[in-house]
Amino acid sequence: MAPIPIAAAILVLLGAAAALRAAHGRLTVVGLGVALLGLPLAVGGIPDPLVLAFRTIAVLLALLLLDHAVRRTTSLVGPIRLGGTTEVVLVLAAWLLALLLGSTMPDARGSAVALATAVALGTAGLTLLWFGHDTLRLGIGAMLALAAGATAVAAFGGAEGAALELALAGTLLAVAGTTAWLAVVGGRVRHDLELADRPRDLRDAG
Amino acid sequence: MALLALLIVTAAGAAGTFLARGRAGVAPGVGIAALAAFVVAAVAMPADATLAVGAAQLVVTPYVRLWLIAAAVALLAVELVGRVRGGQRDLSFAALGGLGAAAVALTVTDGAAAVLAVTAAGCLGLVATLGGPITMPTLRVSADGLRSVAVAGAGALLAVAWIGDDAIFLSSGAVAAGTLLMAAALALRLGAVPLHVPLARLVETAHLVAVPLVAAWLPAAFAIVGLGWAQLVPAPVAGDLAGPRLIVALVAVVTIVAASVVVILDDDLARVLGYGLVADGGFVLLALAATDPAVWPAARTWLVCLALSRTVMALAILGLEGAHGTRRGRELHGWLRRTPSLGMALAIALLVGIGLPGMLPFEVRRTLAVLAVGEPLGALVLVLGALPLLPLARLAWVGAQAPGPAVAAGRSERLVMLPADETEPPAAGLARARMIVRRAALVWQLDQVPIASAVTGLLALAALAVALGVGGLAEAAAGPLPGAGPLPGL
Repeated sequence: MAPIPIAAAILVLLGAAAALRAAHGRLTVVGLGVALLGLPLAVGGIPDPLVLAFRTIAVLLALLLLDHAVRRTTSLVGPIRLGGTTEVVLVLAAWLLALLLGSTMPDARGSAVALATAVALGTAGLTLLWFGHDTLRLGIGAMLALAAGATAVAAFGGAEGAALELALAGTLLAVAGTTAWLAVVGGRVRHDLELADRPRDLRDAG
Repeated sequence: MALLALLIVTAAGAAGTFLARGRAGVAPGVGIAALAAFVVAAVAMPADATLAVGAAQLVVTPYVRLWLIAAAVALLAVELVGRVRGGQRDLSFAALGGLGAAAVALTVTDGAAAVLAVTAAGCLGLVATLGGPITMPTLRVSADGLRSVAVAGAGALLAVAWIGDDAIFLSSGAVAAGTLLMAAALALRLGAVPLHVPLARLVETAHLVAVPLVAAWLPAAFAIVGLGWAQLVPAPVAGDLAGPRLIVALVAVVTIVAASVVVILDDDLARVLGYGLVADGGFVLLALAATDPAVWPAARTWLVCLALSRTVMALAILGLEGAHGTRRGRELHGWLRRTPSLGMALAIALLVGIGLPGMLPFEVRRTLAVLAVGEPLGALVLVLGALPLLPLARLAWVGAQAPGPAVAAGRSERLVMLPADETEPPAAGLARARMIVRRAALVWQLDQVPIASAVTGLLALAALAVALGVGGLAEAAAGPLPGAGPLPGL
């Protein structure tokens, strides 16, 4: 296995873990940024510089929008439903399992590291969408899930053309914009990013 | 270049409406002008326009052009009614953003890029749900909407990645898994039972002005992309797709029946609209359950009819609420006498959404039902799908009676007569122009109900024309597949 994709995949995992585990809004946004900026290298191959530049700018703009939402409301976000650590362990387990399964793929066009990264990001994204109870984590979960879907195209041997890269960049911006809009407008109602009446934490259930 | 011009008009319009949204004086004009510019650009665009993006292309087909024109005209009408009613200021921005992204999604030849673009359209559309007074329930339904759009988008993307143009896995089981994944994404986006709660709550809670965009046109765009993928999925190497098709057919039939029953039982017209949309989504899902290729053009035709019908219905309900202050059927005694053009609009919405034998909507629904589940079950599904006629017949009966308290206290569609000094313009040029503007502003304020009714009536007539075949919807839907690229030889 090539070292650059592996190193980039570890960076992506660290970013996703920060997005899941951090209780500070800006740290969550930084985690998302690390995950999304490291993703093209984890997929393997050197992307077209122009397309890569466009995607990087779009990701930075998206992060700026989310950071704006955090600064306009509150920097503190509650823990995710199971506390964060459990979710991080789930994501790591998904990565390892997918790496193992990907190594047995019958076709040389597929990439085991890309597949594992896509599965891990998808798990992180869906976990945030399912268990997140604040606007910020919802938006971050949506962005991770969609980035995972786009990574899966390359992982299954599909061509990663300019159209896909541009569409992913535009979609990440659209999701970040909508999330920021939701957060800022919602902030007028209750001055934080919370969507539930009371943050539900299963650790307190007993 | 025409497609590029359309996208530039969209981007400029979205930027203009975003910048103008805080200025009450100019925002309505900018929003309406931007949507009108989109209509003009879509009408002027040739039906075979192309634009290269790397190895992929954006290719316009007659169906996509017709869809964009229909969507833009419908949303322009919604924007006009929304501005007349007041209280919704983000629709034009959301509509332009959503339409621009949908235009890319329906024309791009890369399947994964199309799914991403239509997901972006769904996200941008959600901005419209936050345009009115914000409460926690509104915020929650918008957040649930974002969750649904993202999960459906990720699911569809995974299906496209799994069974793409040059798939690694092409066994019967792999194709079945991909088909089921896409069906689940479509079910979530269209609000099929048991995934109907986010859509139903959104229609019930959000401002009705946002409903046509968020719950009809953008899910329809998603469905066009999803069905286009399903149409091009390679035939399995071994076995068939009987199992997945049976599951999809079951979900679709349960959706149609359950949603139609809720429509009969409920009195809130917004819930009638919401569950009507859920039932309509069931007919779209039937396309995935059939083996006959005739379902694809039928489904594409139905997607335009359902969006037009539900837009007219939403505007009519909005008109009733504006005129009489309620949207509950039992409180609307006599509404038909005071607002007859809304009655005409509701009747046309039914004709476009259900239709009569021989009409395009009826025939495509029959095609979908019969080809998916066969005879006689298909005929039964068709009859059960027409159950929403009953509550609207009850509403018409209530409306024909003597006006009740709500309707008596409300407004009719009669124009307010301006005072004599407002009707005689002065002779001098500048003063005359100023007077005309002042009168127009006064009429806009005083005649909200007649203006909203007139706009709704005009859109209803346009929708009826489309359902009667004007514009060639059936031929366009049977033509080149959206996003499939240029035909050999072009």
